[in-house]
Amino acid sequence: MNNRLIIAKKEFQDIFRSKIFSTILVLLLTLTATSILVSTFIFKSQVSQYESSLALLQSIGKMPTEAAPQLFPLNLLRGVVDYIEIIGAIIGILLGYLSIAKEKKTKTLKLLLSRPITKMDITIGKIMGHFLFVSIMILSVAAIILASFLAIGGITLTTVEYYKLAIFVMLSILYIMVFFTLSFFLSVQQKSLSNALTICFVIWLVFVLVLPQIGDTMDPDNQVPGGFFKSMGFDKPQEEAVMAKFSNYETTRDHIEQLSVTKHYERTGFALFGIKKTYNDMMLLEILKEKWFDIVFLFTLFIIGIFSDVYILYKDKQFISS
Amino acid sequence: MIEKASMNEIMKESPSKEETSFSSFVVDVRNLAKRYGDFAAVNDLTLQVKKGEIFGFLGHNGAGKTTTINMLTTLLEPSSGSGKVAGYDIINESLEVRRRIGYLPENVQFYDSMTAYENLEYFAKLSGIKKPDSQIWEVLDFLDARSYADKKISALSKGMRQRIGIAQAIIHEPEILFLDEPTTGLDPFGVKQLRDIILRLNSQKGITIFMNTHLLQEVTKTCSTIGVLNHGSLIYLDSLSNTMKRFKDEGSLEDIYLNIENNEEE
Repeated sequence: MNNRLIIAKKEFQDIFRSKIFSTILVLLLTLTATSILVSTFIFKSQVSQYESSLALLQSIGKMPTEAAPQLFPLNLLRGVVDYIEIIGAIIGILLGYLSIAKEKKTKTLKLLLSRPITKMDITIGKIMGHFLFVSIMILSVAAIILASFLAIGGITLTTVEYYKLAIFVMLSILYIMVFFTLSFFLSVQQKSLSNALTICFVIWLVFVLVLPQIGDTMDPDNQVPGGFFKSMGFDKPQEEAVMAKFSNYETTRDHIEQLSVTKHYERTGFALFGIKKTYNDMMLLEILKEKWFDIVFLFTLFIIGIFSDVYILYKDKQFISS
Repeated sequence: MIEKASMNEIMKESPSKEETSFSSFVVDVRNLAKRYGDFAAVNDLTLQVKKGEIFGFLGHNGAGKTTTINMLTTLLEPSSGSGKVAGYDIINESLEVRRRIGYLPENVQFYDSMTAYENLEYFAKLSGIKKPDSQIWEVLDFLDARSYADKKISALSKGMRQRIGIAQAIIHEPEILFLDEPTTGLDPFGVKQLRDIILRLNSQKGITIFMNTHLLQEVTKTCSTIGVLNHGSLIYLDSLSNTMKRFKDEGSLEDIYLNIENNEEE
């Protein structure tokens, strides 16, 4: 067997035997199922509210001005995107950190490197093993999503919705692996492992929580619960006319958001799942066309991460002597 | 006390050098050095170890022994000089060197979520053995460690782990085995058992042993040749029997060891 596959297999087995990751995986799956159930109950309450309003209007001889709430099953997955954004990033950081920290603490890297293998084999093998684990984890989330849909009322997805879910699975794997490669890099590069972990969590705090929050806070539409423009009764052209007067402000806000890898992931996820209602009526190809930059951004970061990890392990002398 | 003039004559003298053909050296390094800025961890080291020897590399903590082993096992690139291990260049043919060496670092702990067997299987496969099962059992039997196979590494004592450490180092039948302070943390019984294993590896499997230690007692009971490293420089190299003859007036080998280092520092 190829050296990289041997290392990948061992890394994969190692994670599956870890109680920490079994616990985190169960937590993520439970949260996924719970968020779908909660979203479903909210949707059902909206429907019953609409039906009671409709009955009231009809009793006084009037017709409703708003259409009945329409169920787009993927709309129920907002919570899943949010959880993967936050918990997925933590999982990526912990996986990257532990894959190096254990080798450093036990000095097993010396044993590995006394074998006829290269540092490239070690880095790629570790990335492959963790990629496989993250893939299975996200596929389990997808399986829970489908099972939850069936369990709460026999909701089945259309072919296009399956495609959207498949793309979301791939993006989620990429997103978590970006944090894995970052954490791997810092754990090799930093002399102190605790420093590496601290820097990782500062990055997590800034890029996963703070920057997206700044962008959301600056969004004029978020100033009023339910949306500023909606509460003012503005339609889309009116909203665009208002926002045109704040183009510099909006550009700045957009750039702040774009600094965060999390926001790129979230924007694509929300578009695929139609969390922003405008995307519900768009074809999949149109959505991908509009979100190509976010997708390429995630993919590029992952590729840069792989090259950086290979480079830092080749360059690092401290790792051997530690 | 030995005169410094006579000390200098015998220091760095390898009696076997002229008697032995070049190909019989398993370790052959010339002017090897490792520097970190102005600090020389290893300085101008020239050393040959013959096939079949048990070479004891003596020196106090920080003398540069581990740095030397790191260079010989290709883990560290030398700052200058050249070297061959098992006939291959340690800089340009590192993968070939690694195919022919076994290595047990000091205080290595292995993967504690895996059993001893799984650890051995992993390292055997990385050494190029496609189906290592028979080799694993053979090595475990040789080390009288068959009963450890299904135990998690975390459940093994230091002495048991050290046997598994040696098992991973010899599973691919290396020409030379590098041991870095192998007796660290072992109780006297464990030290005795390890010593017996080293002697059997050498006599029964024909493996050349290169052992770092700061314990003179280990060298005298196990090694056929000794080298003494002090502040990165090799200050003494000779066979154990010659050393005993040359320092016959000394009360013990410990006196000799201290004598060598004291003379060098003067």
